[in-house]
Amino acid sequence: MNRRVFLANLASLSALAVSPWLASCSLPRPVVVGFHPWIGYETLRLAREFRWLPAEVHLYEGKTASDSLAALRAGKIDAACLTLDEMLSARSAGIPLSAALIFDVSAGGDVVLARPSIRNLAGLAGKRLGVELNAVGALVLSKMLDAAGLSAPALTLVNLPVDKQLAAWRNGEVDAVISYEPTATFLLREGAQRLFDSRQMPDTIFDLLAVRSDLPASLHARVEGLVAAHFRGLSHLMTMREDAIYRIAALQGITAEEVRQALAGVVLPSLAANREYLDVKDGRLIRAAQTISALMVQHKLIKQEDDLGGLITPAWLPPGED
Amino acid sequence: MKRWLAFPLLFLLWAWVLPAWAESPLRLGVVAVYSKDRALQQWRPLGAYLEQQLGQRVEVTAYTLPEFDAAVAKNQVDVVFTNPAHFIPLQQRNSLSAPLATVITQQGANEIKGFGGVIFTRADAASINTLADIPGRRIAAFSRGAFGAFQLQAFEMLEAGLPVPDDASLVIERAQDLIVADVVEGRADVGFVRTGILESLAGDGRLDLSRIKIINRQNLASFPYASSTRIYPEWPIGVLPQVSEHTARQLTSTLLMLKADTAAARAAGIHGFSVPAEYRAVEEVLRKLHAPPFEKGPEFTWRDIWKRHAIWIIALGVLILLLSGMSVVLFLQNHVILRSQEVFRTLFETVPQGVVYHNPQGLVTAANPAAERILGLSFAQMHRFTTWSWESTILSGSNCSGSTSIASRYSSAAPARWIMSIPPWRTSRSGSSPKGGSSG
Repeated sequence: MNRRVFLANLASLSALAVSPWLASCSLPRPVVVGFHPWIGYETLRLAREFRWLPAEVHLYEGKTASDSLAALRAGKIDAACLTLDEMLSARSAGIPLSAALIFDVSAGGDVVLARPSIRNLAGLAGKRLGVELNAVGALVLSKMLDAAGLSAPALTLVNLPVDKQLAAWRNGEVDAVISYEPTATFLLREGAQRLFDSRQMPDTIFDLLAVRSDLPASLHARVEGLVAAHFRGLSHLMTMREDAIYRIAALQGITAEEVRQALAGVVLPSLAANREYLDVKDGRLIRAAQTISALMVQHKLIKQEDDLGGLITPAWLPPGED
Repeated sequence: MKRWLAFPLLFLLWAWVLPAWAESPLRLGVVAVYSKDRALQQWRPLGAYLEQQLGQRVEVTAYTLPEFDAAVAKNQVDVVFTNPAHFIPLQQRNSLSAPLATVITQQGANEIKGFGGVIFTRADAASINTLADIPGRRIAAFSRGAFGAFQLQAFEMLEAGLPVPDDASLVIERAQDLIVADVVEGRADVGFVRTGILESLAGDGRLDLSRIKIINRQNLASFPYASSTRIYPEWPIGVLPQVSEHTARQLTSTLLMLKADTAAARAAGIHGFSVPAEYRAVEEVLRKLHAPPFEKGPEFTWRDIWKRHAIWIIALGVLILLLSGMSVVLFLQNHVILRSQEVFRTLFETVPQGVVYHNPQGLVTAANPAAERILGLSFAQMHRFTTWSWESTILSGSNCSGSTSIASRYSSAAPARWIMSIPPWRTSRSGSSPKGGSSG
């Protein structure tokens, strides 16, 4: 069985396992966090492997962010690992979410990959481009079109979720895709060429922990424990890089070298950097949210722009020095 | 070129090269993991490569860990190539440089930048399956100072809340292949070796892997060896202070340039060298195991204590202040009470009125000197009677007038306050007194 499919099945099982906790109204109950494989989020699985994740925090493992969003809508989870646009999308659906933690900022991890015959961005004209129709897809597409000097009608856009990109690539259904890790690595292994990536759009694509702002006070300590566990996992990744790389490789079913490549595509903010990002005065996250929100309205992904109230909070970050 | 020109040119070349060769050689020390012969066989080609690239004679010597320390102490080594747990104490004690480079090993097509420790037992050892089954077993290991063949395993046990194996439980072997033999042949229950040893022995046909069982196997799918511990960065290489900065720079660049397909790399079984790895995690292991150079444990300053326990210190301070405040209040109250007692004691002892305290049963519990004087009875004598019987016994037996009530009683909620007063004009058993009495 394909490891990722196997992982996805496991995720469904874990979802079943945690649902009784949520059905019950009795407190205290575990905090359930929506998770899907992405290099920036793996600090949580590392923390779980070393038992640093509090026992009362459960990971609801899905295949993609869509699983986490569906679980949020169904009230099955209290928090989720999401991109900024995914959080805005959930907020527009009336789910009160605040960014409690920045896992990573994409710096090459989101990428436009194309068949080797397409040598540059201009060569995409008239080609079929597979893209997941979410805001990151739209954002990368928009920035890529600007860089290429092309307009959207010049391309044939194919709605293609990331978990279906490999099969579509193999079946020759697309000429290029907008992808991210680990799928990007699988596609590069298939001979895809990198034409454009998020290094050309810094401080734009954020992966973050979105926590329901209406979480009962009795669960706050668990979220604090979850955030602290992330930083312990991050410290492990920084100080025991080889160990962490081999573990992530095993968890994602890819090679150590592929994990190294994936890590090269992201910046993992420290606690100090998180404090800055989550400070309203810093403004970078708010500005990125404004841009994305406007783009999402333009692409009819949300009805109206987010008012950005309560978008970020440093309240869950551990106290003390970094 | 004319022949007469060749001689002076050769002389100039000789004069230029000779000083380098005439200098004392660069002495590269390596730790022998298996045996010294095998270590020399493995690393001498690297010495030859360095010699060729640096234009300086390079001597390679293999040492056991204690021999290595002694050689460094005697200034017999210039370049140190050893495991990270040995490197760190040498940095602290012998001014060894920071790592210049970290070796990358090679296994098949895999480049490996880290290593770990393996904990294993015989496959048929049904009672040994987890770390918790290890305490109390005979453990074959290399030495307590061996990073991959003791310390990493001990650290995993410590992290799992188990005790670090003591000397009594250790079977110390002089080579890691002997550790494997000890376990397979039953001289030890559990073996601690560096990652890759088991696979290497199996590759040489010296071990049937089906005869052993790995304990605490880590989920490290793409790491080519079984590991029971976390993976730590590979061996660093560094120089001692007598090596010039110029030589150190040349050495570093030469090592980083080493290609996997050279004879030196192939003989050593390495892919090459990379920029130095992060060794903080190694320090953490040594610190927690109180291994050299952290035998004494960290020294805390007041500042450290404040940084770590500020909240508790503040709470304790507030508590001490509260207690001190309460003590002062208690002291002042006590002083007031003592003053008050003094006033009453003086009054009790000097008042001309006789005062007798008695309990609810009428037994006399205290009497002032005036009462003793008036009644002509000592307190001890009064103590034999109850006040109820005074009219009939004390007074009738005395010269006091029985017609005069000597006392009036009152009761209060507190029985101890039962009190009787004797008017001063009843001066003695023989005296007379006017009628009267009052409750006191």
